[in-house]
Amino acid sequence: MRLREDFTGFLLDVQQPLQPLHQQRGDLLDLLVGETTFGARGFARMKGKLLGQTQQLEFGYLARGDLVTGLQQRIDNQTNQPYLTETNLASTLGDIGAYVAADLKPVSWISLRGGIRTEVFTYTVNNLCAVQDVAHPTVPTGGASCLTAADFGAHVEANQVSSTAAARFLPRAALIVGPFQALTISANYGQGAQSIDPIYITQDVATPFATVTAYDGGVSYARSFEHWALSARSIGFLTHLDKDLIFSEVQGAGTTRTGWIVALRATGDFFDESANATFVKSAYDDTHLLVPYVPDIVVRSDTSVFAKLPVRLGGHPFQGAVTAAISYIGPRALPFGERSDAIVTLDASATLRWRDYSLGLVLTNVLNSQYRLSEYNYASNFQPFLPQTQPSEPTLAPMRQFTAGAPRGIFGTLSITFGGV
Amino acid sequence: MRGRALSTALLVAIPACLGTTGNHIVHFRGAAAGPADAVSGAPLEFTNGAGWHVVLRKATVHVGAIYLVQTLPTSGGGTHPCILPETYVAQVVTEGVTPAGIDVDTLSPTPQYFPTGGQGTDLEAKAGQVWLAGGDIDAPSDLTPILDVQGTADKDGSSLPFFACLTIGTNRTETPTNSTEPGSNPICQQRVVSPIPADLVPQDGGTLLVRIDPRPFFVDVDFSQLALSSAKSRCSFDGQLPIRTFADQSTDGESTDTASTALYSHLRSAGTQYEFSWQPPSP
Repeated sequence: MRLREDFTGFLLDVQQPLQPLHQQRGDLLDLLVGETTFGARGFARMKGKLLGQTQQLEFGYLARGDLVTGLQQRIDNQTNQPYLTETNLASTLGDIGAYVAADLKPVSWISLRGGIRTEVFTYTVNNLCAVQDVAHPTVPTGGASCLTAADFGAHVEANQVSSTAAARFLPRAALIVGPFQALTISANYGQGAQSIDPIYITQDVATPFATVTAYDGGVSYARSFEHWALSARSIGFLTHLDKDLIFSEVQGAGTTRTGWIVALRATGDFFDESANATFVKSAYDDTHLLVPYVPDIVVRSDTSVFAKLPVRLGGHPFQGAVTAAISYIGPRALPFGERSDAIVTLDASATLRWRDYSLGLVLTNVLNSQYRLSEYNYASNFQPFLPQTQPSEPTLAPMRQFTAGAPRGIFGTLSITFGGV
Repeated sequence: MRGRALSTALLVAIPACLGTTGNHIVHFRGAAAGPADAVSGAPLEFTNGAGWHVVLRKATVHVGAIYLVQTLPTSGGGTHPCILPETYVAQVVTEGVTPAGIDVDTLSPTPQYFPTGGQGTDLEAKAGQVWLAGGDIDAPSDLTPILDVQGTADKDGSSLPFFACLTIGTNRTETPTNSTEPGSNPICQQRVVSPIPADLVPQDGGTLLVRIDPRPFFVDVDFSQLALSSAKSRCSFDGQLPIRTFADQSTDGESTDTASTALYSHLRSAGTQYEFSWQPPSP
C-alpha cells in the first residue's frame, strides 16, 4: 500500500543545526507499506453427554507470521523529492497461540462458555534508519536522514536490529440463559491484547502491550411468524484499554468506553428492515475527559423492498428490489472542548434481476448533502499556499480542519452469476 | 410532530450531556502599544545607562505576528528553534496585507489593533513570542523596516540628532561557528523575540496586548560613535541631513559601530522591552 497525506502543510520542517539552511519544505508524507501474512489455525472438538445435556470441549491453536516493510518519507513541495526519511523498518512479527474452550450446559436453558488462550508475540525489527541525529559531528551531514556516524565521527551502520518477545494469557467467559418465550439473556467477559507499532520495540525490553478488557450483557429476541421473522437485541458494554492510540499518534493513557447497542431486524416475504443504534461514552481513565473523535451516537437503518414483477422473459420472471439506507452520526467530541457537526446521509439503490443477470442503479448521498466527513482540531500551517501578494506568518495554534464528504454519486452495476444462485 | 421533535432534541442534546475533551477554542483581538506611561502625541524622554538624555520623537516597531506558548523553554539548553516544540496556545497573525503585520507607534500607550483577530485555546500561557518580520520568517531577504526611530541625544552640552531604520534580511548574516552545523544560525532566529515570560490565560472576546518599550533599546548606546550619513533609507524622514545614523548592517552580530550593534541586539532581546498582558472584554 502506498499512501500520501498531508495534515499540517508547512509546520514540521523546522530548521535544525545539522541541516543546510532551508525554508519550510512541506509536510507531505509518503508512506509505503508492504506486508506478507501467513498463518494456520486448527481445532479439535469433543462432545459428550453429561447431566442429560450435550457438553463440548475444544482445543485449538493459531499461528501467524507477518513480514512487514514500512517506509515513511517527507516530500519537498517544490521538487516533489523526498527530503527526510522518518522511518524505514523491516519487521518480522510472530504470533503463536493455543487455547482450550468449553461449552457446558448444566440444564437445557443455561450455557456456560469459556476458555483461556495463551499467545506468544515475537518481534524482530530492523530499523534501516536508526541514527538520525548526532550531538558532536566531525563532518557536515548535508542534511542526510540516515547517518553512519556517531559522536565525534565514530562509524556506525545506518541500521539497528531489535528483538523482543512476550506472552499473554487471555481468558474469556460467557453465560447464556434462555430462550424463554424467544428471549435470551447473555453476559460476556473477555481479554485481548493489541500489539504496538514496531517503531517502539527496544532490544530486550519488555514489550508494552495494550490490554483490552471487555464486558457486555444484554437480551436478545428471535421469533418467526407466519409471513415474517423478527430479531432484536439490546446490549450494554464496557471496554477498557490500558494504552490507547488516538489520532495524534501518541500512545496515551488508559481509556474506558461504555455504551449501549440496540439492533432490530425484520424480514418478510417482500421486505427486509435492519436498524441499529449505538450510544458510546469514551473517556480517559485519569482525567475522565472524553476521547476525541469518537462519535457518541451512530444510527443506521437499511430498508429493502423486493418482489417478483409481473413481467416474464423466456418463461423466467423479473425480480425487482429497492433499498434505502439512512445514516446518522452524532456530533463528535473534538480536542479543546469542541464538537463536530452531525452527519446525515441517505443512500438508495434499485436492482432488476432476471435469471443470473442483475442490473443495478446505486445512488450515494441522494440529497447531495455537504458534510464534513472528518473533523479535527490541531495546529497546521497552509499559509505558503497563499498568493505571494498576501504574505502571512504561520498559524501555530490549533484550528479546525476537516475533509469534505463525497457529493451525490450515481453508479450503475451489472453482475452475472455463474453456476446459479 | 411532537414525538419527532422530541426524538430530534434527544439526538442533539445527548452528546452535550456526555462530557468534554477539556479546554476551549477562543477568539480574541490582538494589539500592540507603547509603554503604559507614555503620552500620546508627546515625545518619550529618558536618560540611558551611558549618560545620554534621549528624546524620542518617533519610534515605530513593525510586528509581524505574536504568539503565546504553554511552557517557558528551559534556559541553558542551547539556542531555541524559531518554532518552539511547545504547544502554541494563541496566535495573532495577519493575512491579505503587505507587508504582514502592523507598524506599532511605541510612543503611544493606546492599543493598536491587528487587522485580523486572534485565536487559540484557554490553556495557561507561560511565554510569548514577537515576530519582527514582514513576510516569511525564513526568507533570506526582507526589506520591511522593523525599527524606525528619530530623536535627539544630549550629553555634556552636546546635542546629537539621530536616526535609525533597521531591517532584518540578508544584511544580518551570521556565519556558523561550527562548519558541521550549517543550519545553526538561520535568519528566522534574528526575527523572533523569544521567549518572553508571560502568565495569562486567553479568554473569548478579550484582547491580547503586547507593550513595546523603546527605552531599553538604547540602554547602553553611546551616540557619539554614530557616523553622519546623508543616505536615503526605506523609512520616512523629516529631519535635516546629514544626521547621525545607526548602521543597518551587521555581520555575525557586529555592526560598523558598537552603538548600532547594541541597538540591534536590544531590539531582539526578550527583556523588559516586551510585555504581554490580557485585557478582558469591555462589559
